[in-house]
Amino acid sequence: MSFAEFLSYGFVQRALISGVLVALITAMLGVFLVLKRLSLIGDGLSHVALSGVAVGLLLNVTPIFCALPIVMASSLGIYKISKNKKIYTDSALGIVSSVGIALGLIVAALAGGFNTDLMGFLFGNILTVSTAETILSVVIFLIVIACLYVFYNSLIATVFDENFAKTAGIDVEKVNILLVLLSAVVVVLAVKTVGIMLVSALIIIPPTSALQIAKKFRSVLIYACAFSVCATVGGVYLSFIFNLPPSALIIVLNLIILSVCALIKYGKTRRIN
Amino acid sequence: MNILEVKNLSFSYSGQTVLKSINLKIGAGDYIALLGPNGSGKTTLIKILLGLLSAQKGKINLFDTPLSKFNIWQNIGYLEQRASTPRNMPLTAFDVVRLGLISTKKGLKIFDKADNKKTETIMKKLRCFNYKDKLFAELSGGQQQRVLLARTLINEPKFLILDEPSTALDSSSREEFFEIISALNKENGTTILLVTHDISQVGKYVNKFLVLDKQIIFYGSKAEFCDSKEVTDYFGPYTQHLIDHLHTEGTCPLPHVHLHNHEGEIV
Repeated sequence: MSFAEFLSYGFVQRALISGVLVALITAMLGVFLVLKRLSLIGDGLSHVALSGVAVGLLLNVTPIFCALPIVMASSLGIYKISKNKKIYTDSALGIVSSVGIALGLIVAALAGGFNTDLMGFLFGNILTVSTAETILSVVIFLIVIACLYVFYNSLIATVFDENFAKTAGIDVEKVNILLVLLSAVVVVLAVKTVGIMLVSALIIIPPTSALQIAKKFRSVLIYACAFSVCATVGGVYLSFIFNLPPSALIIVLNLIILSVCALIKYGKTRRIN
Repeated sequence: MNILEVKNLSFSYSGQTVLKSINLKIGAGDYIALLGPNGSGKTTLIKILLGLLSAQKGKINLFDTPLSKFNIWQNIGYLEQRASTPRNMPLTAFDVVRLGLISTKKGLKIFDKADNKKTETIMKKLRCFNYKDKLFAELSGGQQQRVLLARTLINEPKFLILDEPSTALDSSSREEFFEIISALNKENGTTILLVTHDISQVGKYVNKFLVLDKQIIFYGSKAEFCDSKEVTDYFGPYTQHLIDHLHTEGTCPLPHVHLHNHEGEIV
């Protein structure tokens, strides 16, 4: 199948629009989360999304809309717990992650066990994205871009050195809450693209690849977006060619890009030494 | 105008008293060395003064404004002993110094050409311009501290709070560092609160000493420090020769001498 023929299908167009937008915002937010060592927040929140999706399926409400408030509340919970320093952030994420899955399993059992819909959310199915979900992707993309634009330098200062940011008059609490809330929204959106089990890879791998080769903050953002979009479009296309799950191919392509970037960095370091 | 006023400040953590009944006034132009053994609450006090920690009791005014309402942060410069910055942060030395200007920015906080010029000037002054394009994370400890000092000074703050800032520097850089800071105090009237263990290095520059050990042991001028019974009682008689020299020469002739309290802890 030629690429032009591939693009002519309506469901492919919806998948690509939604997939590219999710790829862009997960990559951009991922840069801040990876540098802040909060990248596993995607993993924890996506597991919480399972509960939300299960509740949605049980109540016959659009699962994403049901998952959204639950995941956002959990993201604030994780932030508050880790801020109080009574529990380490990774422990808080681990707890929230397991509890999310446990509650999801209970709700799914109450609903009569797993069904194909729930499996679709677990491993994603970008090719079944509806028009309403595509529109939601566009809206969330615009909100995330607007927030990152407005808070760009405040986010950089906060990620770089929180104490400095506070003494520079930045409302660090507000910036951190914004970051975790945006993560929650993006995770819920990405669940449809790559699934609950693979969401964190979309947040972690493209920024990590970019950080191997880019030297400027802006370049890291651009590279991360480019890698993420290439992997998403490539993954969807290859899924057609090889009849394999698109979400898995997206992650594998991201991993290949990361390996190439790591090799480039290794080569550069060797030349310098 | 008081630069800083602290009234009856107390702080405890997990039931343990860290600071008790701290009362303190710092006037414009003061250069104060804050001394105290490890665990005496020096860094905690500084973090509370800057709003990085909240005290359970007490009032703090910065530039005659309650800390909760204070918003002229470009008047404050804060430099930590070692900032905990991400290892792989893709910011150059230039980016880091320019970030110091963020406290002067409103709205979108976007930097312009004038900001770049200002950054260049301070980096040249502090002799860190030649590695401006290097990643901050790839600089040596001393170079990083110099860059962070440039970030701290870029707004020409009226009140500098320095928490053991010279630890990562070699001895010649340390001397140069204190010369730069002292010049700011003398020429611009910048008020400085400096946490240090190295009294011999800063003794010739400061005009006041503040000795803290959970509560204020001593706070006063250099002359009062030398004549103070509280100081003698706290430090013990074996540092008397050091104090004598401070008293007569205004400086300490011994290189890198540390004061010890009765329990042998470095102060």
